[in-house]
Amino acid sequence: MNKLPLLCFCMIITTFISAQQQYTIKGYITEQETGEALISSNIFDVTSALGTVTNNFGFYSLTLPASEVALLYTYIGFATQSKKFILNKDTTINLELSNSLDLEEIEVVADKVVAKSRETQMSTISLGAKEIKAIPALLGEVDVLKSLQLLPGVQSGGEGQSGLYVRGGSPDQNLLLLDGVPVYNASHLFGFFSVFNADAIKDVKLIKGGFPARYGGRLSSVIEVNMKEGNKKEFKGAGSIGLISSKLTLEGPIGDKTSFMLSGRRTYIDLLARPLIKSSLKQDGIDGVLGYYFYDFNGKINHTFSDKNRLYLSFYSGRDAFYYNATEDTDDRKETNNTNLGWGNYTSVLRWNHLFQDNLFANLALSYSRYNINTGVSFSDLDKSNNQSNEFSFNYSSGIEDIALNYTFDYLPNPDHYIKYGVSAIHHRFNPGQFKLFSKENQTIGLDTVIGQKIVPTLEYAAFVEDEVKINKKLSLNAGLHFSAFSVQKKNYFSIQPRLSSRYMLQDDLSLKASFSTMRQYTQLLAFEGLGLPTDLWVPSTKRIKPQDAWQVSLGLAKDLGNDYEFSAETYYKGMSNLIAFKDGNGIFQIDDWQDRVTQGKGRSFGFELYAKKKTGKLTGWIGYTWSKTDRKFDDVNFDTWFPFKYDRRHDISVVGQYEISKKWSFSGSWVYGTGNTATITYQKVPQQPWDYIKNDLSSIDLGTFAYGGYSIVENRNNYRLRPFHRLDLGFARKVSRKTWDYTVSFGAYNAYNRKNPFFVDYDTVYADGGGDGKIVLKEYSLFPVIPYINFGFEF
Amino acid sequence: MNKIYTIFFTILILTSCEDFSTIVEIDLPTSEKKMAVHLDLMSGTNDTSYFNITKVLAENISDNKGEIDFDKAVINLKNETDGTVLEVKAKEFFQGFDLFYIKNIDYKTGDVYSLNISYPDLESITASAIVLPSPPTINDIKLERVKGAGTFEDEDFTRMTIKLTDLPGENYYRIRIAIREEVIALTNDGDTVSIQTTMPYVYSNGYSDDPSVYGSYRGLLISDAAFDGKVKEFIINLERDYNTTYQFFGGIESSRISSGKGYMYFDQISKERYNFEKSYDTFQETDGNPFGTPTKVFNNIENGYGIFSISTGQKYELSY
Repeated sequence: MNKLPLLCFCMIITTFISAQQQYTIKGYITEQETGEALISSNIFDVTSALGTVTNNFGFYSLTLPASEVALLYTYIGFATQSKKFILNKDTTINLELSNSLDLEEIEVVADKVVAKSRETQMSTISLGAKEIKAIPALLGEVDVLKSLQLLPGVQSGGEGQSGLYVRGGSPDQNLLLLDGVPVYNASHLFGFFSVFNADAIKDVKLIKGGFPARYGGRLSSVIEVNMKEGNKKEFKGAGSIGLISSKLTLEGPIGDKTSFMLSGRRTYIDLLARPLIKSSLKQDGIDGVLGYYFYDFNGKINHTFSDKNRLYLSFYSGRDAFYYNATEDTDDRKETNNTNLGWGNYTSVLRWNHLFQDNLFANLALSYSRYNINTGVSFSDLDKSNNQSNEFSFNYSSGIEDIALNYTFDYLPNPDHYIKYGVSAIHHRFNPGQFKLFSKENQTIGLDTVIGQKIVPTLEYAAFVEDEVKINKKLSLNAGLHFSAFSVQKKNYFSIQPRLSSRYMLQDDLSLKASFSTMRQYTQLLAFEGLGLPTDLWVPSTKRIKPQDAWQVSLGLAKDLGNDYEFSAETYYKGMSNLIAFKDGNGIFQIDDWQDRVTQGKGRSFGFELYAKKKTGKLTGWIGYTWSKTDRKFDDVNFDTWFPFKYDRRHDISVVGQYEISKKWSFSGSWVYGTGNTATITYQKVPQQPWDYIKNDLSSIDLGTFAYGGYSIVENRNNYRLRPFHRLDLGFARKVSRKTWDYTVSFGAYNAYNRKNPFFVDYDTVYADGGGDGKIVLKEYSLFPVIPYINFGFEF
Repeated sequence: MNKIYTIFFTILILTSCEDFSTIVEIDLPTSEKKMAVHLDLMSGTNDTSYFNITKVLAENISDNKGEIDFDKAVINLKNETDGTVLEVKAKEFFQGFDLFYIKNIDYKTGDVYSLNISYPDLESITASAIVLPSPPTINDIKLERVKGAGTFEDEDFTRMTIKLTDLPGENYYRIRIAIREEVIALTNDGDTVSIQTTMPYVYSNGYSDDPSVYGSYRGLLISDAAFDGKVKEFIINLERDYNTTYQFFGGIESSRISSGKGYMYFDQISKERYNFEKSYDTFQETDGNPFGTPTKVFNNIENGYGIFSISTGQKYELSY
């Protein structure tokens, strides 16, 4: 009872404060040169020391008490702007920030506003398109995902691979969103290039832990890739001609309220090599073509109806294709062979932004995503002497198709709360692999059938609510709940996932951060470890296969040194359950039910990450270091004992730098070092022998007298560690400006000091000069020597 | 800057003109210091257990026998519960191999036996196993001949139905079936001679569609995880070729005809034995598949490899 007066007092005070007149300042922050929305731009009132940030569409809303306000609008790499006025009514301020840094004095004021240490969210790193493009790349092909591999806590699968292993997770545990739509297969050319064309990308954000409640469906990370909206000010074009592909991007306004962006990329080795291949085949009497190519195409169009209504339509289409079409026509026979292997993604999203009120922003999105693989092989043979013919064809298809509806809201009742909530529903359609067989002899059909596994339709629902709340000047929280449900084969799964992130300011520029999150995943990838093969199969949780779960705790420090440097140190522990893996001896390329081939188990990963970044000046870049340990445990693998994850990597270092030598010349480089990957190697065997057996002496029954062969001894799964991996990539760029266009010549080298990094290991027999029995040795094969590149880029 | 271009590209072109794949050879460790043993003691059926001891060999040598000198091996098989030591005899010649053997006794349930083997220049190996209780008694065995419904068209087979009440707790069982056959040899001139073979009972490749049953090369292995403590019925098809004719060199034909008699061994086996048999089969079936995951064969031998187990069995006579 003693607390009752105090409670009443608090309620009265709260009511009094709430009763004070408040007004809302809202608007959009865009880039002055292009009109592109600036995401996570800071808006800070110096008078009240209250602020907010823009959302993914550049929108902000800040509700403040009626008084004089001094607003600072800041964004990294852009000139800060300020607005000072008396706030006595709801106000709209749409602002454009320039990326030319002339207003140095205002930036000093802004130091504390844009500081990394002040963000509640931890385990998050964003990279802009400019940073990504500056990093030297394999064959000069700028790669969005490979740039993320250079960040602490993120590892690559192997030499040249674009797969991401975030804090001990598998690539399928990354929620890869392109304009908010999941992309299921993010690689071209068996994983050596990612599907994202850097020219069409605005920025990339990686979240490794402390996931806000709005995200769900994957265990290990969220990777948000945002496409450009299209230049709203003037028509612009950019492109490049590289060693393996060329790109062209066009963007511009259509009237005052609409803008568009179209970007395409295609490889052309097949076109260049076609005459040679045709000629070579011709020599063998074959009229045919053989080739491989990939392409991708991005597009976006957006229209502003008013300050309250905006519409966006974006799409992506990308595909890899291998083809061999040949006809051998002789006097007595005609044989044709058509082989095609194709795989790719298609995504599209229609998005409507609506401002219900100054502090309530809504985003309704209808999206479609599809990944599929189709393999077709057909033969026909005609005997001209007797007109007898045979035909045979084989087709394999698999994939996943999603139709999703999302409705999310940003509600900013006052500067102390940033509330997000929403619902979503996804209809998945899994094709776990179907074979179509057809044969015909003369005019008689011998076989015309479809075998394989049935299409599995599923429904996934989610709802979330989160609030980023400022408790006081030192402590802020982002607390939320994510609810999800999954319906498959008359089985329903439900999950409630609490999320919490917190930040406590120890000093003005030093904060302590902590987070806890649980995640659930209903779809998983059956994959051949190491390579991004198109045969990788997305499968759902089923009656037999439970959804995967994970929980993660993180603790860290964030420190800013002025506006030039940021530092962070984080430690984490992640526990995972119901992970999926092939049982011992099983793998891909089997036609039996995939559920019979897999087992479920646990995983754990822990480690710490250090990150230091220089953001401004002639020299920019970062240094990242990760120490981690990741293990797995499955009922039917390694006899239910823990073993290291294939990509368990104790040490991982990356150094990335860009230096502007002059206005024309720039230099960039990156160096990576990683503990070697693991592999399962056997180097001992139990020899062939008459097995133990049991004999009944009286009746002469012999049981188990089979002459068994021996067996190799697998001491432990992933018992062997390949040599460490390290590589230096270097690049130079020379930019030349002409009256109407600019061009850039980039050149450099991948693996500049020719390190023979191990890609895989295998046994081989080596023989002495004099012959003999030979000796079996283990060989580590590496893939890429030093590879120079040159690229010609242009803008107009 | 033109000089930079020229120097840079000259160096790069020179250094990149080499084989795309680079190979680094690593000598595999060679090890012949360890031993392997595979022994299944059998309680309850008065059988003899035979076993062999071999050296573990390095993967990179062609020898696939790893033979040891039997006289130098010191084998100690001891009941750790009461201290008695079992006699292990060596060198019985069987099917071209020297083997160790033990005349099994009725081991007492719950007793722990240890196996200790030492050999000059090799690391001593040890293992232990506990005597399991008898498997549940099978009171109901039905056998029926099914015509023309075997794996191959028109092939007859025998369908066996057994019913048992499972023991509570985690249990593993093994079913092995031996069928008596008669072999008749025919000469080309039509004379018929009946021959009594030296091994009239042969192992039957029984199989079952029951998900609790795993068809191992060495019997049907059963885990009771899905029917713990409950009454369970199994249907097992005994697939032996009936009236199969073989053509031999020298103008002699031989036919194998089922006699309609046989034995079924129903054993309680350890989880370790179950794991070993399953993993060994998986290894054999998948060895060499480049897209398969590697298989670890179960091992319960300290400082060495193999399996030591004690199974408790019951023997049933079959007649159909």
